[in-house]
Amino acid sequence: MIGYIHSIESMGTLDGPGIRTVVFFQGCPLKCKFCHNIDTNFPKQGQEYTPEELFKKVIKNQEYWKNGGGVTISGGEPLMQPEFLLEFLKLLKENNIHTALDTCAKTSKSAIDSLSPYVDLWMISLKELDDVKHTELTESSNKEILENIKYIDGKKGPNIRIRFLIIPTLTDNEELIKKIGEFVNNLKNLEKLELLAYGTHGKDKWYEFFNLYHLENIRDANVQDLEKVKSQLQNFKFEVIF
Amino acid sequence: MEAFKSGKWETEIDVRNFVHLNYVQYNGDESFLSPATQRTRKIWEKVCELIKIEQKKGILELDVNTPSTILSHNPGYIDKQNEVIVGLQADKPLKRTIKPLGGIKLVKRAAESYGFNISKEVEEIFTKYRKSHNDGVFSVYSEKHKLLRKKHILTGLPDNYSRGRIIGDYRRIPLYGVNRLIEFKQDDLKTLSKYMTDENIKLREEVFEQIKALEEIKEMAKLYGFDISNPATDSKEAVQWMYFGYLAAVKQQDGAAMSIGRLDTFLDIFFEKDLQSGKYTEEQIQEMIDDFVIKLRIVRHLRTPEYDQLFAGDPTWVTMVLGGTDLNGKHFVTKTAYRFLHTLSNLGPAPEPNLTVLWSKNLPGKWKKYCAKQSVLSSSIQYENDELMKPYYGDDYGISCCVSGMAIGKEMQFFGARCNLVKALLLAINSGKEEAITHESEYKNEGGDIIIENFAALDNQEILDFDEIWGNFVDTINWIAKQYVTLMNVIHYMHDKYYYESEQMALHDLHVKRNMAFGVAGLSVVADSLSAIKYAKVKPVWNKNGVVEKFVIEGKYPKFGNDCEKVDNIAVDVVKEFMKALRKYPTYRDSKHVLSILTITANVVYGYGTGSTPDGRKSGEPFAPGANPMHGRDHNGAIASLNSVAKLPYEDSVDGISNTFSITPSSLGKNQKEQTENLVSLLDGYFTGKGGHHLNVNVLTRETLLDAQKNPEKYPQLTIRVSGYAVLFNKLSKEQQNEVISRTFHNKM
Repeated sequence: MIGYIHSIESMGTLDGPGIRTVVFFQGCPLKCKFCHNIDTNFPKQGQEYTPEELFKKVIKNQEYWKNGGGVTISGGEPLMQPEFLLEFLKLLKENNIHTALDTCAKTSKSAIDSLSPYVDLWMISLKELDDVKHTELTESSNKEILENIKYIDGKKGPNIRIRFLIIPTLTDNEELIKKIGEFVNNLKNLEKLELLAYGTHGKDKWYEFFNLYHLENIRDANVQDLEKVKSQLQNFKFEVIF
Repeated sequence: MEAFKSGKWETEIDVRNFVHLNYVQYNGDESFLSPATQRTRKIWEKVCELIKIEQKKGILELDVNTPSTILSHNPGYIDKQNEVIVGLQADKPLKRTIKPLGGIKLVKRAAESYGFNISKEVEEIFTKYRKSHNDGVFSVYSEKHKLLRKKHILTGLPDNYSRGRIIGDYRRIPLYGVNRLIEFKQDDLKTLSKYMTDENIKLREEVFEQIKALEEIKEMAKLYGFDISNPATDSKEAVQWMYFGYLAAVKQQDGAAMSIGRLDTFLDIFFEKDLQSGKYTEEQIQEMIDDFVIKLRIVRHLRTPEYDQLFAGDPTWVTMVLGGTDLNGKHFVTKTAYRFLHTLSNLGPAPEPNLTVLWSKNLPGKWKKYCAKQSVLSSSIQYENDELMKPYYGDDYGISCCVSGMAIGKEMQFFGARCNLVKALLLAINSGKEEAITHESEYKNEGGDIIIENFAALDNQEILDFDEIWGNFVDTINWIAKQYVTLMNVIHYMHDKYYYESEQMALHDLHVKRNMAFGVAGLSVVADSLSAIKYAKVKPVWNKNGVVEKFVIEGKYPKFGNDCEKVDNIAVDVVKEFMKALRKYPTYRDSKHVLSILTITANVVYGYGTGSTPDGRKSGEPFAPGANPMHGRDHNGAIASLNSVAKLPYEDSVDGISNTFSITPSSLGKNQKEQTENLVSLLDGYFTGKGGHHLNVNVLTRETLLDAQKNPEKYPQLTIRVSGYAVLFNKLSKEQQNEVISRTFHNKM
């Protein structure tokens, strides 16, 4: 069995707790306008690994994973390679490694069923609640995504971290934030809500591959933007970080 | 002082025994610490003002008439009424002195470059009547020694200034008092009277000089109004007595690195007693530490501008180790370890003293967090692996210079700078001839000078063949090793003869273990070059002198710093081969061969003088510092890079493997708490997990450095760690600043 890997970051501190090795899978079902790793979008590219080879490579860093660290599987969308992902996750859990899955949750319920025993933290990136706006932003409907989040939340065990990207003028309006708050608040297994700041640093790659960039007129989100959103969520009981 | 626990230390010199019996561990956090007092701030501000003037002028003042000795200068003060701990190298702060025993020519040149002239009388004495270390060395050097030195294949050799790297056991003075130390030395002399062999005669003369130095320290202290004949009776005396020992050393010698050793646990014993009895408060004790650290920050030697350029400013390497554990794993962390790190808050960051935390899995968690926190805030701390070093140096060792371990008072070192290994590789390719060096595609040197005779030309001239180049490289480093060892023997024979460190050696045992410290620079360039030759196609372009002008590389090859065995093993083999070669040749005074992988900041200058290399590095481009991977070639993040360096064999480089790690705060974690915790995990992983030896930690943004380069006045105390020590960013040359800025900043994608 072969998996396609874009790259491996051995010193990840921003994608889950502690120090983590972040494995970026190749391929994604969405095509988000704000994507900052658009070169991970294409399937069957990048470095080829067997699950064992990939495991051997990441396990070399395990001495740094005290204090809650471990492996984060990101992308692209890892769920685009479900069988490979499952085998890789099994190897990690056999060795008691903390696993986090950074996903958009667009996948089949059967994939969720098979993976969930091996995922400690689902880090689900939620882009929009309104389906039309979601489709505009990602070239894909959010119907399946929202259902899947609830489906994962219905399972015992795994924690869910919702990650929400603040894009000035697009995803920072008070109404949307309130709805996000309500949606998140209804999750039983919520770990926390993490706000991410939109940045334009993916622009060059868009030009390289598509010769265009959709969000040309939108500025980077800053700490003040995130502070503001956080304050709008203060009446909810869940933890908000950024 | 009453009520120390009795032990062996009372009847023989054994500071370690005293410390073990009497110290009190501290497992708490930093909340007990006292801020800088008004008095401390006032003194430090005064010093900062003087340093500002010094930076403008190059040096503040120079005494051109009086060669410095322990007793040469009258007492000096920063602010006599308010100083808690006293003593300066000359009669004024930051005033420099001359030490012509290393070599009068260099002293003269250094003075002149700052607009001073050495007095005629001094010059005459050291030209006509008194031979110097430098004269001695050059009267014996072979033609090959001189050639290797001139061609910068062997560089930074201590043949015209003091070798340094010796750490006196300054704790002996407060513990025993000078009178008792003299008695011990007189007893030593008696054991050396039976046979007047060469070695015994030498030792007897040395001990005689040591006793003389001890008498002089006593005299020097008397000038400041202290009688240090007897042991210190309280905290303040303990700090003061010990500092007098160090002060005498830096008055007698101008060693490249004059480190201070291991004081924290020892001093803490005195502090604890006085805190318990109520004699001193925490605030008063912190004042003593702050004042002492101010003194260590203003140690100065006269250096040439070239030296400053090579090493970025005025480094003195007053390296001080903190924490660590004993042989059974019991930790040595006391409140005083915190107090020393706290000076970075009370006085702001600074390169000196070179604060070095000895890391172990057995350190208390709160201490680890405090160290990490101070690192994040100041970028002024280096870390070294206690568990790795203890089997070699025991549990009462210090670090000399940057990464060199030695048992305090029981071991010393013959410092030998380093071999430019990249040039050695180019000799192997160019069949023993010096390489061509171009700068911006213009020849600086067309190369071709014969360094090694009778070296056959390559069989494979079109595409370099790994087996052939590796064979040539091993032959080359064997040839160099022989020259290197013999040259070092000359230097240290002459140093002992003409510039002996009687004061520092007076604070050692009679029979010390001597290490002969060799070094290498450019390891990652060599590893990547050999990897390119092995895994890609490297075509040399030959010039008319029959040496390679540049290399054309086709294909990809694995690079050091990505945790990839294929190339990391090459780096390991290079270190092993060089060490094996060095060990073949006998050393002066039967010293033990040791090796460091360390460049200080000289990686920039070394690179400038080295031609193009098969890894694609252009002629004149800097090497990576120490054992670091080359800039921008580590593609798998910081930990993969650390893992590559951790594979280098410590057993073949026990003089230290320097690694400098720079990360932006946001890549280390989202907030200070996370940054601190992640740094602790990183250090645990590198040292306890991977067995790495040394790590400099910088937590800075590239933007800060760029801004500091433009607006130096905004950042008077911006300190950054470079290979093995720290510097004020403003004291780096433009080229060095650029190199630091371009160096891989671990920043998440």
